[in-house]
Parts: sequence; structure tokens; C-alpha cells
Amino acid sequence: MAKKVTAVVKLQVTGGKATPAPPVGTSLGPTGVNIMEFCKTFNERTANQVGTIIPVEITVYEDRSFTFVTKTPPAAVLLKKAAGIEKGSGVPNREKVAKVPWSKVREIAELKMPDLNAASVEAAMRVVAGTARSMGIVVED
Amino acid sequence: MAQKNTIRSKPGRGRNTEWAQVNVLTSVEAIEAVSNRLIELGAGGTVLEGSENGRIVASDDELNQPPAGTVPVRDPLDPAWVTAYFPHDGRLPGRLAELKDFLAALPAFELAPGPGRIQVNFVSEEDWAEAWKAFYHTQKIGRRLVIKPSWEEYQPAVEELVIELDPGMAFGTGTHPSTVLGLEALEDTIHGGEYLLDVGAGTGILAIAAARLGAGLVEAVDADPVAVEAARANVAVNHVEKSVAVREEKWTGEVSSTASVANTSDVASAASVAAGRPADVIVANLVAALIISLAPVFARRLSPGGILIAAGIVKPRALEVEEALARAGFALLERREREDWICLRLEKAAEVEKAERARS
Repeated sequence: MAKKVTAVVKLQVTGGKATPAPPVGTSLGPTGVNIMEFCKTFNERTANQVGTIIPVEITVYEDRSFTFVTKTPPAAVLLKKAAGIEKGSGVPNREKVAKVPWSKVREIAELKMPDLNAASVEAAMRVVAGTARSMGIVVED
Repeated sequence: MAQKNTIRSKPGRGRNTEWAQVNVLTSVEAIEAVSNRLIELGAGGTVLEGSENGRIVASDDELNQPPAGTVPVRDPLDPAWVTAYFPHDGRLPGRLAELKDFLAALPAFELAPGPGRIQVNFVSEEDWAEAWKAFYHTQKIGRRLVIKPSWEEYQPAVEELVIELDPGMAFGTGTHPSTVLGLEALEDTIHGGEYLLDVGAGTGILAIAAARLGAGLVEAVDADPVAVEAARANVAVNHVEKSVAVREEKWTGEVSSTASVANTSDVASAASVAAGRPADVIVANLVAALIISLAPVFARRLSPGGILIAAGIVKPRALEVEEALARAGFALLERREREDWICLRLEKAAEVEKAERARS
């Protein structure tokens, strides 16, 4: 198979519920990827995570065939789970909704390391802690 | 079509629902926070590190660095796009205002804000489930072969052989030059009744074409389970189950005793019987490096005078592949070119057979 990559599309979409509506249709449509096959396969593979936001990376080849891999849940999803909340604060700089310790931030950063586009655990921790604050979650020991 | 920063006076009605494509230019380290915010504001998902059309901003070379398809780690402070779509309705101004406040507060969350720009395009509702099909049309290949997607009608001429194939997750949609070259070479090779091996079958397009051209028994192998599933489905759609057996296997040319006999169809048992005997034709649409390493195996598995069709070779490596195949005892019959791709048709010379026999 003379596979040459022509595009990589990174999405965060709801597990088990991908449809051809935006952002799936609008981002994959121009690449010529079989959108129905993507949705069907993605929904099958994420059937045990229905409703959870899941990062997915779709690789498109020269003949418009494709493959995809799903990644660990977004930092925000892991933080909500750790803090026991459903949703972040609507006004995160004024209204705090939960607290997480640094040990938890490190744990999430280590788990997310391979998917975070970060060069070190410290850089990944900065991303996770910042995401926490952006949701009204206080990071402190 | 996306229209930049244009508010249409005509309200979206019925099918013409419009979407607001909200592109946020932030920093690499704020991607997770911004994506979460967009989803909490009501977006059905986000596109990360793309451009307006959601594709990665990376050069062709970057995308093909090993491991292919991975994007290099970027500086946390580099600018990065995060895109989300919202219905173009009365809630949009409020959502955009909240987003603006959020981006302004990023430094307070100890995240680099990046350029902090919001760009809004309006996109009309399209039938995305169908739109991608515009890339595929019925195409004539060689003298008799026609590759047709399932949704198109085609009235074939008497001598034409139509293969129905829908693109998907396996390689071999018929739009790639190396697939086209492989099909043309098969047309010149199959005369009827041959035992053919398709190594790296992908969608099974070459195996199916071989069967339709008259090959007696076709064995298609691929190491990728997704490809095997696609190939089996395509074999069924094209009604060639009686002559094509598809097997999941990392092909080494050895006749393995572990070959799956779970599929007990006639053709599978015929294939397992045939597995011991030399093939009349091997078609290998792979990559240069694999063809080079498998060259002696191809020679071993072919009958004297058997034909090897080697495709998927990029032009700069063609000479290297030709040399390796010559060393393995192949005589070059024909060299086809299309765009940057080369397909070789070779014959296993009889002397190789003698040498092999002398050795054993």
C-alpha cells in the first residue's frame, strides 16, 4: 500500500454520537473521507464512552482512504471527574466551583502526556492546571 | 461556501440553516481550556490545531516524518486554532461575548492567550453525509475495467467489467496512480484460470479485478484487520466469493499451518489446498522497501515463468527495486509510469528454478 499522508484532522467529539453535522462534516468533507463510515466506526469504538467528549485524530491518505485513533479524554473531562462536577464555572475568574490538589494535576498531566503536545511533564501540568483554573477549579494543596 | 465576516440579511430558514464557524486563534497550551469552553458554550465538538477548514497546519514533509501522520511537538506559546460551530441564531451574540471575556481572562488562569483573535465565518447547511462523494466517479481503467462507486449508475459496454467499490478505511479506492497501474498490468497478465496471490490487498480491488478478468483462484492477504473486513465486503458486493479468499496475515510467503480455516467456504478450502503450490501470478501493490525485502520470497512462491506485478514504487526508488528483483531472478517485462509512481511487470526466469532445485 503506497500510503502517503495528505491530512491529519484533530477533533474532540462526543463518544458514540458522531454525526455528519459540524464539526465532523465540515472538517472531513473537504478531504473526501467517507463520513458515514467514520461516524459508524467511531461510534462503535466509543460505544462504552457514550456522552463523553473524546479526542480523535483522523489520518487521511493520498487516495482519500483514512484511519483514526482515539485518545485519552480531554484534560477538562478528567478534571471534572476528579473534582466531582458536571460542568465548569460560567464565570471562572469570579466563581470557583471546586478544588483539586497538585498531585491530581500531575496524575492527569502524566496520563495526558502523549496526547498533549507537551515536551515535559511540567509543561503538561501547566496546561492541566490552567485548564482547571479556566473552569473555576482551584488548584491547591 | 464559507463567507468571511458576512452577516446575511436573509434569516436561515428550513433546510438552509446556517452555522457560525467560530475560529479562535489562541496558544498551543490554551487549546484544552478553549476547546472545553467552546463545548460548554454549546458546540457539538471542536477542531484542534487546524485552519479554517480544520486541517493541520503542517507541511507535507512534516506529516510524512516517521511515524507518519504524527504532528511534531510545538512550542506551548505558538499560536494555534481551535474551531467550533454554533447554530446561527439569536444565542450567537451572547456566546461570542462570553467567549471574548473568557479569552481575555486566559492570563489570569496562567495560560498564554496567544493572539486571542476570534474570526467568524458563516457556513450554509450542506448534506455533509453526501458531499464527500463528489470526489469519486465511475472511471474506466485500461481496456475493459470500470471502477464504479455504489451510488452511480453505469451502463457497461459488452466487453466491459464493472467493479463496484466504495471508498472507506482501506487503501485502494481506485483513485491512486499505483492502483490504476496495478489494474492495467493485471489486464495484460490474466488470460484465464490462473492462481493469483494478492499481497497487501487493501480494499481487495486488485484481487476482485483479477477474478473478474478470469483468474481461477485468488488469494488476497493483508495484515490489517480493517482492510480484511473491507476486502471481504467488497468481494461479496462484486459476487466473486467463489474465486477470491481473503486472509488476515502478515505475509512472509511461508505456507503457515496456522492459516485461518475458520472460514470454511469452498474457496477458502481450495485456497488452503492451493497454498502449497506455486502461484502463476503475484500482485504486490506495496512500497519499495517491502518489495525489496520480499523479492526472494516472491521468487520462491511463483511457478517457473510466473508473473510478478510490483506496484506502489515511487520513482526515485525504482532502480533499487529493479536491481533487487533482478538479483532474485526476475526478468523485467515492462515498466509502467503514472505521475510519480512505477509499476513493474516481471517474469520469474527458469534458471532460478534450476538453481533452487540444485540447492535443495
